[in-house]
Amino acid sequence: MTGPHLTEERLVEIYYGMEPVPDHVAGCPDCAGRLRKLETVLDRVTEDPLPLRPNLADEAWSRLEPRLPRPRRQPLLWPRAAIAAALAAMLTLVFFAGRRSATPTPDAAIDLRQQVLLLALGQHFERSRILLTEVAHEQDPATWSGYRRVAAGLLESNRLYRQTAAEAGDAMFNPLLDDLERTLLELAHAPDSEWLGLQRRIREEALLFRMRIVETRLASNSDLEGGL
Amino acid sequence: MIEGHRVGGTENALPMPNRGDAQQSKVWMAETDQALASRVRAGDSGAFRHLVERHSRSVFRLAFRMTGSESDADDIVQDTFLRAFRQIETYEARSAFSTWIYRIAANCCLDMLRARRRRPQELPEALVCEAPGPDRMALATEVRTTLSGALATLSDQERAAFLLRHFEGCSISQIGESLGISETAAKNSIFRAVKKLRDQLEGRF
Repeated sequence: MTGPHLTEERLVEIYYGMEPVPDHVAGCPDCAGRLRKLETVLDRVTEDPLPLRPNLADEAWSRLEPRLPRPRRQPLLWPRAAIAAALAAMLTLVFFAGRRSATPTPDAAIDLRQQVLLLALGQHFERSRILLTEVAHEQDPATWSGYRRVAAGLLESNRLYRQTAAEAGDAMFNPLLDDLERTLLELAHAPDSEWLGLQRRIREEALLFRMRIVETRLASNSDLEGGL
Repeated sequence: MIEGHRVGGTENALPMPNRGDAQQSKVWMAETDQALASRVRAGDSGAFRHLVERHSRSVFRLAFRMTGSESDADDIVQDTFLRAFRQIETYEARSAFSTWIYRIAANCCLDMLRARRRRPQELPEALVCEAPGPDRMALATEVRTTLSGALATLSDQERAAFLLRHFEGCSISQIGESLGISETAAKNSIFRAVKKLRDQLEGRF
């Protein structure tokens, strides 16, 4: 016989193939017997039958499909650089569209500029609100790092919107973009230890409600005179 | 991108596989879980169907053995994939999709068990020795009941860790990741689970 008797833990590791069977077992009737007993019990557990229906996957999909949220037209998670580049290009385009067409049809140009920007802003608020809503109710810490990345992406676009709104002297969206930026900043950098507090603040503060109101107004395009 | 599968410019078209579309099905079947998850992220819910087809049985197995109830296990399969769909943005392809889905499923199971404890009068069907239905007649009811009773003595974490190792063949690191615990904690949970099962079952078979 070689070596000391095997511990219970070692026997379990051997059973599950985490450890090779040591030479000791061959020369020790006691350990060999204990291993056989363990095998008998655990092999019997394996025989435990399951009510596994052959069409389980089809059934699961049939029930699941109508419950799935409608896909977003634009994915929430874009590469940060893509967001920033697309946004910068759009703002530049809007700016020049307004200037170039100012002489012949100033009203149309202003209207075009507002429409494009308001559409993009509405989508930004929608994506941010979806993110904050999911974060506010998410209990699985495994998902937090993913949410941080999404928040970091939205933070970059939010900065551009806020700066644009500030330069335009906008009083309607600027305070909301300001508050949203603070929350996204916290979210993007909050350590796990502060996550629960952040979730509570998102639930308790009126930010989500304010975003919903602005989104509704943007969608109906009403009450926006002088916005941006 | 796999030839023949449209992605760009078809976000709103949502290609949905059906039984008649064998070619499309073959394309999806050849794709990795990570590639399918990327398609779902891009708005392709048809790709999600294939993830459900691949992983619903293993989620059901875990859920049934965690809860001891077929109907609860069906509900957990639904909740698991609904959560997965909503959280698909947070899936990081560094880890296996199966590990990620087990993690969600394990959390759904724990939520279900916590809710059940708040309603102690509702015991799972497999733990109350009720008369088996026609499809269960072939089962050795006594063995089933004994095993269910033994599994019921484990803590939620011990049971989840044991089931993932014993029935699903997960590695210790996968179990740790799935349950959000360290590898040492995962291993110790399995050790404790096996000890309790031995105490309950040794000599009875």
